[in-house]
Amino acid sequence: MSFSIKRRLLVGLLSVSAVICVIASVKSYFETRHEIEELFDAQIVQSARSLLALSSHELYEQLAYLDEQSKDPAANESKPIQIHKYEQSMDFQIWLMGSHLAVRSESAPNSPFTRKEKTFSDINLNGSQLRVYALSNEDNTIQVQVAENYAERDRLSNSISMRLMGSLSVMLPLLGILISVMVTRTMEPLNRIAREIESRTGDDLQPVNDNDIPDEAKPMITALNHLFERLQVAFENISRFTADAAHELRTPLASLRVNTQVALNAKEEHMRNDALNDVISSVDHATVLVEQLLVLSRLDPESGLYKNEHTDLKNLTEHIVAQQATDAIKADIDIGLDAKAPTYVFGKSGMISILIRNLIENAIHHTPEHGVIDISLNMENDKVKLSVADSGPGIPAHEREDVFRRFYRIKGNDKPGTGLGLSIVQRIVELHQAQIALGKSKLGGLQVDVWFEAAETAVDVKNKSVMNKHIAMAAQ
Amino acid sequence: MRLLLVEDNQNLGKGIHAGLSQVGYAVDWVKDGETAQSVLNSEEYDLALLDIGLPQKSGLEVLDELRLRGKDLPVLILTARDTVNDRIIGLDKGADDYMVKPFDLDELNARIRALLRRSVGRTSPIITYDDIEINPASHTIKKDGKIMDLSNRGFAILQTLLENVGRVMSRSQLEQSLYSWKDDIDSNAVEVHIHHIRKKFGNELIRTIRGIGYIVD
Repeated sequence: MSFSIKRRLLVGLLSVSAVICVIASVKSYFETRHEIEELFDAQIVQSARSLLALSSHELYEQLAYLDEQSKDPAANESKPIQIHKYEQSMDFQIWLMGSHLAVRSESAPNSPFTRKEKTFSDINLNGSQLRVYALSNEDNTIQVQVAENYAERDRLSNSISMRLMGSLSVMLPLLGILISVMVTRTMEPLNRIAREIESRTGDDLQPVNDNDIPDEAKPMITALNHLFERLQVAFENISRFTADAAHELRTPLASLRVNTQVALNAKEEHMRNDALNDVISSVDHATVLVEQLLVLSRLDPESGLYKNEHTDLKNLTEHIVAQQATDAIKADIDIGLDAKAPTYVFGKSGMISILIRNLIENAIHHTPEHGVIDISLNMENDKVKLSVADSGPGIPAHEREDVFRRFYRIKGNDKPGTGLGLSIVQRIVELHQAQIALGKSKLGGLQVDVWFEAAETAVDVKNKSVMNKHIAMAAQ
Repeated sequence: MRLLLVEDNQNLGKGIHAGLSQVGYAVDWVKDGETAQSVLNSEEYDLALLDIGLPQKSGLEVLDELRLRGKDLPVLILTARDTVNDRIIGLDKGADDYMVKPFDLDELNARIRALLRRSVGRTSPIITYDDIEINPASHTIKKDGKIMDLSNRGFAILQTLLENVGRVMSRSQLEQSLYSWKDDIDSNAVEVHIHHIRKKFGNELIRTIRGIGYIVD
């Protein structure tokens, strides 16, 4: 599934910031609201105290008067004095002796707001919520009750929450823009690299400049640069190979042309025939060269080798030796195969047969008349070892590395050859993850050893499981 | 004219050898750099044809060594490598000409003639002496405008003498220009050819310097 880091970052950062903003706002709303409550409550208490302190002096006179009047119950019905027009939201009552309303604010009722003392209580009066606090003097003769309408608090709280909402609505988009700019700028080096690579021509495999690249992208760029390096080497190999192949083909072509001209100019029959025979052998040489080039090009790692492909190496080797024995016999060479057990190896039989054929052809090619070629198959440390030994001149130790190079010819060797045979063998060895070694054979010439990974065939597996079953049954 | 051919490819070497022998050159053919170097040291050649990609010692190394020893025989490089850089390297090492495989045998012959001509200081392709005209390209000799018939070896001897007018050519020098190693040298062969030439062109043309050789003066 494709996704954009930029979009993810944007969406992630924005939603996280939004959630945090909202939580912070809600929290700060409730905290503010709480503070407002406290503040207002404190104000109520303060008002009650002030009222009590301010009014007590004047009210003591009234108290004295009330003492006299107490014998006359009618006096109790005297109207309270309205002394102060306080804040509309703040109402108060001042009670004397617990029952006589001495003073009240304009909108305060005649009955007491609350019976509770020194504590806040919420009451409902004529449909409006009130916060009430009552406070008495030391001898409980004067009691002040202050009530405040909740509407005032709500108004303030609402205004604060509105402000918070307002700043949120500005802050979030601003945050969005800032995050977006930041993310875009952070991603810019990646875009630059993408544009740089996009604008390249097919043969430009220069490493990507890794200055000014975020650390997180460096492993990717490094890997990319390594890939470029490997591709560069591969391309160079291919172009060198193509050049070498072209040059190698020029020699048989030159030979064709020259010998044809010699044949045309020849005055004597035997000279013409000689030249024409050389024409044919030049064509043969070119044919072998082209065929081997094709084989090499088909040994493509992409064509893939599968672990489940087995080849019966013994069977295959017998078959190929039989095919090539005629050539050996013609050259009066004693060729023999020594294969004991059936040996299964991992690999494609087509490729392995090219390998075996090349090795045997090489041996026949370099072994003089009356020589010997021994081919053997053995198990060696879980691997199957194929050996081809001959009694030819062998390869000097210092040249054993070089002979795997394409078009390499052993010094002093004037036998016709393309210099590709061992390159092909090595390529097949590589593709099969096998090992190859060149050495001196007991016959005096070259010995080539190839170690293949042994394969368990389906039959083996079946036999084994049958055997295990027997063992299990015997144990019972 | 005696040429050295250094070419490791069997078919091509055989073809060039046959092609050059057809037009009357004595050609020695060696297949590797080491041998080329040693025969260039011990034998006299009028020209060498050198392949670059040789076993043991590359053609360029052979050329380098040859020029270091002060030998100035014309060298024509035969190679499959054709980049400008390859040519520059070859020519800078002292090659006189360069042919890229595959080449035309007639062109190779023409270039060999041109190189041989220049090496004896001539610019005209035709050698003239009195009323005798030798054309090495068409392998013809004319006297008084009439085409004369002469064997390949007779032709080579006359050409050598006329190219070296005023100089005594020893018998062995003449022999070397006639035979490659493969040929059995007939001890009287030079005398026989001189005799044939004298019969056709008159006795005065070639003077015998007794015990040494021959001169045209």
